[in-house]
Amino acid sequence: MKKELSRRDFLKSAGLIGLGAGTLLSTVPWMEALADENTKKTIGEKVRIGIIGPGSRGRFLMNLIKKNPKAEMVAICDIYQPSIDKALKIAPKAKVYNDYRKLLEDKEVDAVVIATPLYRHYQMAMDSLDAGKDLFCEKSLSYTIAQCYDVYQKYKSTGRIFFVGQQRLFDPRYLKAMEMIHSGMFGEIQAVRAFWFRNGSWRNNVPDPSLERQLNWRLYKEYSRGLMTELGGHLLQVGTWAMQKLPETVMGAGGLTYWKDGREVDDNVSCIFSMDDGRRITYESVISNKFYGLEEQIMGNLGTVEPEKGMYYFEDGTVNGVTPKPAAGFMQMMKDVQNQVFEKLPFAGTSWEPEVAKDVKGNYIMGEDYKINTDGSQELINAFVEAVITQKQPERIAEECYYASAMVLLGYDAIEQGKKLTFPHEYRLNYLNHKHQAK
Amino acid sequence: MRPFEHIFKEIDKDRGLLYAWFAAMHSRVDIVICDKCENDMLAVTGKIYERIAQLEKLANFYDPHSELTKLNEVPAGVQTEVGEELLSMLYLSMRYNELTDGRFDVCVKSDGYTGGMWGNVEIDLEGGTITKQRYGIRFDLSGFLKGYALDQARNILTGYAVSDVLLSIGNSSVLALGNHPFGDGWRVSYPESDDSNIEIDLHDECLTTSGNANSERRHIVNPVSGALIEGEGRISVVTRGGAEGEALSTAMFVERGAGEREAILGRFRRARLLDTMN
Ligand SMILES: NC(=O)c1ccc[n+]([C@@H]2O[C@H](COP(=O)([O-])OP(=O)(O)OC[C@H]3O[C@@H](n4cnc5c(N)ncnc54)[C@H](O)[C@@H]3O)[C@@H](O)[C@H]2O)c1
Repeated sequence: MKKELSRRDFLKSAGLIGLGAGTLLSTVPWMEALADENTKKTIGEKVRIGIIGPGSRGRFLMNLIKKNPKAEMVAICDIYQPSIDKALKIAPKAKVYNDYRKLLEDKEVDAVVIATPLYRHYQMAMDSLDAGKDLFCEKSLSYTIAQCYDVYQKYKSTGRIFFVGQQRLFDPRYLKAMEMIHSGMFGEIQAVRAFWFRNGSWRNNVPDPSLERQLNWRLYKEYSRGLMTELGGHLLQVGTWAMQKLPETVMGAGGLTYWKDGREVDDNVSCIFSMDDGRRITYESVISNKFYGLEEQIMGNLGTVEPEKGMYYFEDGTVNGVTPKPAAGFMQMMKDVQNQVFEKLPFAGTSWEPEVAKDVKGNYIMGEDYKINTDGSQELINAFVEAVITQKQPERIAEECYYASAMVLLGYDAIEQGKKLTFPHEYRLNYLNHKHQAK
Repeated sequence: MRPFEHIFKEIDKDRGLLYAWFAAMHSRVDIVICDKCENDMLAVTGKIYERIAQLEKLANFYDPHSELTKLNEVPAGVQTEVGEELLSMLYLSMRYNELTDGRFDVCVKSDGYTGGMWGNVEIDLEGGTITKQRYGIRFDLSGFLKGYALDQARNILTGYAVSDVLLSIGNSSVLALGNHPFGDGWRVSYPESDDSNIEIDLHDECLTTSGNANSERRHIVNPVSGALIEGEGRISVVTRGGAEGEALSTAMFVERGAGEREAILGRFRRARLLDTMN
């Protein structure tokens, strides 16, 4: 049976009810937008949203927006009729535009969601903020770091609400895992190994060859940065979130090794992000083997977390709530007693440690019965809607999102240039360990 | 269903022996009881299980929801109400810090730890509050809780008039009450070195061991230097109570000077230091 989670349940299961405001603010300040006492105040309000690029992700988001009674989709804009037709099925009353600039002129639109191909994000995001719209832009934020930085600055100077589609920030498994990680339960995080492996062409079917580049924009360098911008950002954001630290440098390598079908982007990439103290986050993606799937392996000196699997493990093999085997010494004593023998009991010493079994089962982040029913996207949208209503940008959202995009783009450059690159000081924000330095 | 596993053996027509075990406090608990009635023994074991689980919930440093964690998160200068039990555990920890000349210190995980942290903590036993007067003070009761749990278990056992018990929490904290069915006291052995063991008979007392099981597993901080103590080694003490055993064994593991050790040891009534690897 699938349990439906109410928002209160959601916050509770994410461990965010009953905690002092201190915890909420320090580790996940953006959750404040969804706190009961805040969402109650906005009941009855309505945000009018325009969707730019209701393609596959755009329509997914539209379905989530539809579930939010405080939001209404008043306009859509696309250049591809099939996308418009499908989008109108979700929001039949929405006005239709073919030019996003016209949508931005529409006074009825308070906020926009941009879900177009990557290379379009920059201009659309800048224009949206300039037009006074609050902005939800899908990841990755832009096509270059410089552009990302521009958008971030534009957000700062216009004071609009600004979100990027980093839904793990609201995924209960990740929220709970981060709470545990930041409590020190796994010691200091030494490394994060993130990977996303798939076995598939990553292609859309194209009704007419003339539409190949338009519909399969992901595969061409002019529009996309391939596996870095399309998959990497989610995982790298988790890495820096866990470590509470941003990288200094990145090295990378990649190639087109299997899907040689005329595409330009690599189907096989790997990057190493290094912190100033030598700790690392690695990201790897191969799309011709799916055996290892998707994971961020967060490794502390006391334990490991695998949020995708929903599990954590202690280095000493401890499993919560699992009864250990009887101890050999005590069993011997039970036998001795039957033989009426007073023998020593050989056991005392330093703290007992279970053998580190290779088949350690691990502990459940959300409890054994937890059924995944959100990846955080719904809550991300809800938080955006709340922010638009209250005109309060939740803390750290913009920065987490900026860096998720900036890191993948830097990784992409490292792969392309075959060089170790330092995170440019002029594109650093004053965030965590990073300090901005003008060029 | 019981939250612990057990085996029962009849010894003679008046007595039986119960062995029960379960996981708790990131470790294991083993308990052997010799008494008349199996059901009573199961009942008292159940009570001990509950008590240990309760203590763990209250004072687990790594549990974001424990009362201890909440206290640790309170900023400096804020007077905070603290439950009676946590308050008394912290008060005891503070007393043991004094008695060990700072060698046992549950504050070692504080930010910018320097020793002498307790000077910045106000415990109001009457009002039931704690105020941390310096930023970043954090209490980690992990090295105290097992012994404290032994003392609590002892209270429960006395309440049930159960007198012959051997209780081990993680092997490093052991309580021996009364007698083995065929002996005087309880006889346990612990490693003296890699290849030889020492046997000791325990009579209504606790055996507590502190140390590093191997060179990779360092976990005890030297409050004087602030650094983790390196290398393999361990030390055991025999004391009346479990909590004092934790304090004393940690202090003896940290403090290697003979004179200093003797001075500290002298403040614990009926305490013995066993000659172990270190
Ligand atoms: N957060 C996530 O988990 C997630 C998941 C999938 C996709 N995405 C992101 O969403 C974005 C879109 O991906 P998708 O898979 O939906 O792609 P898609 O190709 O299915 O959709 C893109 C849509 O934009 C439209 N479009 C293109 N140019 C336009 C223009 N100039 N004006 C208006 N509309 C235009 C297209 O016609 C299409 O309908 C990408 O940035 C992608 O990375 C995010």
